[in-house]
Amino acid sequence: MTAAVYLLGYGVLVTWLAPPLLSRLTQGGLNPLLSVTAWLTAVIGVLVTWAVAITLFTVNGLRALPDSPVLVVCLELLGLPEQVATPGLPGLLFAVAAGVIVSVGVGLKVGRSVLGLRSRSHRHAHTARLLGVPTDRPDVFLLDAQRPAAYCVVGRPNAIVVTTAAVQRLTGPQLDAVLAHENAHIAGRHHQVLMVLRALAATLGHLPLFPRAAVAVGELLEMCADDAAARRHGSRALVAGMIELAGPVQAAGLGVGASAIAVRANRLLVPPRQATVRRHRLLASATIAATAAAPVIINLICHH
Amino acid sequence: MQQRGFGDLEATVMDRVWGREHGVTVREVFEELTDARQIAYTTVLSTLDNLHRKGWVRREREGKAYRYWATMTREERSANLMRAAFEAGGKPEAVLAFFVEQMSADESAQLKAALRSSSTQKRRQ
Repeated sequence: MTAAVYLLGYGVLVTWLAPPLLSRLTQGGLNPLLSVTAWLTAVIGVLVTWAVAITLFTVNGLRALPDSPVLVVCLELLGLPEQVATPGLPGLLFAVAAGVIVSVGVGLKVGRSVLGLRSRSHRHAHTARLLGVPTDRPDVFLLDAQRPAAYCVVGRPNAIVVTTAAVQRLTGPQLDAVLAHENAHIAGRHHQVLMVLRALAATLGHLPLFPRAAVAVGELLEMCADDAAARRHGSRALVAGMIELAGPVQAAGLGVGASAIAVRANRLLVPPRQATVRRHRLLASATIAATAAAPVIINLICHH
Repeated sequence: MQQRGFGDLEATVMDRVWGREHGVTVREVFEELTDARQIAYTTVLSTLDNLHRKGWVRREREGKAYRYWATMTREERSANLMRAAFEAGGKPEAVLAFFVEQMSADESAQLKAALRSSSTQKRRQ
C-alpha cells in the first residue's frame, strides 16, 4: 500500500513539475528527438504509475474482503508486487471503486478521441487522393489552390498534399526538401504520436502535463522532420522553402517576436556548438533516466 | 504525371464521372477502362456503388442500369477540402500540420536576411 501512495505522489509531482522543467530543457530545439523522448517518458510515466497505483489499491482493497486468492494469483502473473494486506474499510473500498471508474472512463474517452482523430485523418487522406493529381512521387498529390501550402495526413494509404501555388513558388531543390520533411513525418509516425497526445490533452486538459506535452512535442517533431530533410537536401534549401511557403501575408494579428518558423529557421542556419549539443544530450538523457527510474525504485524500496 | 495505381480505382472512376457532363453508366466506365487495364465489370459496379454510398455520386435509374453524376464538381470539392485544411491548420484537434504556418512580412524579411548572411559566411569560409 505504501508503494501505491508513493507512486501517486510521483505522478502528481511529474504532472505539475515536469511541464516547466521540460519546457526549459527542450525549448531551444537541441537534440529534438531526445527532447521528444523526455516528454513522452513523463507522459507514459504518469499514466503507468497511475494504473499501477490504482491496481495496487484495488488488490489491497479486495484482499481485505474475505479471501480472494484468485485475484492475487492473476496479479502475480502480471508481475505486480505482492503487498501486505491492509484492513479494509468501507471508505477505502469506495475510494478504490471511484478510482477504477474514473480511470476506465478516462481510458475510454481517450480511446474514442484517438479513433475520432484517426478516422477524420483517413477521410481527409482519401478525399485528397481522389481529388489531387498524382505526381511521380509516391503518395504526393497536387491540389489546386491559390494559397501555397504543403502537408501530410495519415490514411490508408497516406497522402502528402502540395498545392499548385506551392509548386509554382518552389524551386526543384526546395520542393525536394519540403517533401523530405513531410516524408520524415510519415516515416517517424509523428501523426500517430500527436493524435494520442492530443486526445490525452483534450481529455485531461486540466492536468498541466498533457496539454503542454502535446504542444511541445508537436513543435519538436517539426524540428525532427526539418533535421531529416536538411540532412538530405541541405538546410539552405529547406529554409528557402519555408520562406516561400510561409508568406509573407499582410494579415494583422500575427504575433510579434520569434515565431515557431523563425526558431526552426535559425536553428538550421546557425548550428549550435558541438559542446552545447553534447551537454544538452547528457542533461536530457539524465532527465529521461530519472523520470523512468523513479517509479521502479519506489517499487523496489517499498517492496522490501 | 503518374498513372493511378489499382488502390486508387475510386479516383480513376471519379475522373471519368467528372469528365462527362451527362453522367456515366457502369458499362461506359467499364468500356473506357478496359482498354487501359484488366478490370472486371463487377469491379466498376462496386466502385461506383461505394462512391454512391460515400456521397460522391448520385444516381438515377435508366432502364435496367443506373446513370451516375457527381454530386459536386471537382473544383467545389477541392475548395472544400482546402478550406477544411486551412481552417484546421494549427488547431489542437487538427489531424494535419502544415509544413509552415504563415508569417508576417517583417519576419519574412528577417529570415531572408538571415539566409543571405549565412550564404555569404559560407562563401568566405
